[in-house]
Amino acid sequence: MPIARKSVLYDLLRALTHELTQPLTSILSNARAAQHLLESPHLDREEVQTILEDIASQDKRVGETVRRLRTLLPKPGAARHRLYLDDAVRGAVMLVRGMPAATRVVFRMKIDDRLPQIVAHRLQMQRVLVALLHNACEATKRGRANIQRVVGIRVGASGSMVRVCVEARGYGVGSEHLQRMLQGFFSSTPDAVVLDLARCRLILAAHDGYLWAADKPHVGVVFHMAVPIFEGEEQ
Amino acid sequence: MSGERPTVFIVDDDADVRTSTARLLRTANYETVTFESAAEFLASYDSEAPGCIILDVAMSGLSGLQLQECLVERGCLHPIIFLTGVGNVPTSVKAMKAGAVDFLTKPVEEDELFATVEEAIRMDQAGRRVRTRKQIIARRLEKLTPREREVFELVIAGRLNKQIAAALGTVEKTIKVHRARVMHKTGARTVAELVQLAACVGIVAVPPLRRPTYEGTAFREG
Repeated sequence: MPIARKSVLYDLLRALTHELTQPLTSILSNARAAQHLLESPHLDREEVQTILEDIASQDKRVGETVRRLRTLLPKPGAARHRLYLDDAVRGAVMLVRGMPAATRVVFRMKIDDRLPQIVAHRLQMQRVLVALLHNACEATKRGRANIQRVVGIRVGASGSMVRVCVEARGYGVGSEHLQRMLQGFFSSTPDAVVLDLARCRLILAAHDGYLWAADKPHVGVVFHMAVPIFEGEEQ
Repeated sequence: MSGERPTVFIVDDDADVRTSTARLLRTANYETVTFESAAEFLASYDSEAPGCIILDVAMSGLSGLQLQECLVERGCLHPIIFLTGVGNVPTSVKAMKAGAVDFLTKPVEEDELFATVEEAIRMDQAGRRVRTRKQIIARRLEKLTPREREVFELVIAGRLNKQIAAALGTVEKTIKVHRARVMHKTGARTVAELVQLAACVGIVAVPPLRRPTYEGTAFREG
């Protein structure tokens, strides 16, 4: 299995373990506490009632996690096509320009000539790129107020991958915050307009690609994504 | 102080876990106080209350391990129990090395939780007893006059009255009087008890040399 896919699965499992362990821990402690209360000579019915309600709501919390997990899994049979990633990047920039987050942001693009094709789900790629650019715009807000907000985009091919690098110049957002965004499989709203970064990672992993982001001092936040080059005959 | 019910301080950013853990411990007759973050805990917990601390490892903001570090630095003496969702060997090793009582994996069964909390409370009580004893001894030693202090240090170094008298340039009879006052003020009945009491506050006697030079016969540790 490619290392990038392994790491996203590892992170997903970690997040899932946490998401399930918390309510399971509470349910167990609550059930034991209720048992003790029932054994005591002065039965506090109200307290037992509260505990049972808590147990029920914690059970629902587990159910919600399982439902979320289902939505995280890539839909089977989604059609993939040969496409040029730079086209998707240009399309995504157009879309993001119209969003409030991109107000006063200057996009500087550098796209290599003669890029090879990739095989991908067009809409999914579009949404991932929109998410990256949107996050980059948000990250530039941390810079000084009256300085020009710049998002740099580079698209190129190296090795067996087509790579996109998005640089949000500014003070960065902090590595801890970045980690949480990349690993927050269960912490964001599932039907938000802009995909969260954790979900983007899953989509890219399903394409045998990867997404990573790093907070670089004196630069800002840098997002990297890569998708394998299509190895067949060009159309 | 020993009559007070021990308090279990619970720090966990998950409200469900926090509440249910506290509930369960209350059924075992412990006082509980809960905190939703390390910062809240540091700002308002009662460091004098007898008891122990239960920390969640993976809290947002200051993590459980960082909080432990903070507490160790501040000289907090409460035993710490860690609760963790994702068992991780390096993390637990680090926590144990920094003095944690135990590292429990969620979901934790009550037998395990109760046994660990009980042990932590016992450690806390033992620690408190030692600290109280040290304070009492230190206060008693403060009452010694400078001369008595000299005699005390020579006695615990195993010197005879005659040797002490020679070292301090006086007669044996005077030393006997000083020695009796040292025993009275410290409450020690025998030399062995006096040595023990000195060791308790970190005063270790140097064993007598073959040719005693009564200088620097005792030193304070640390």
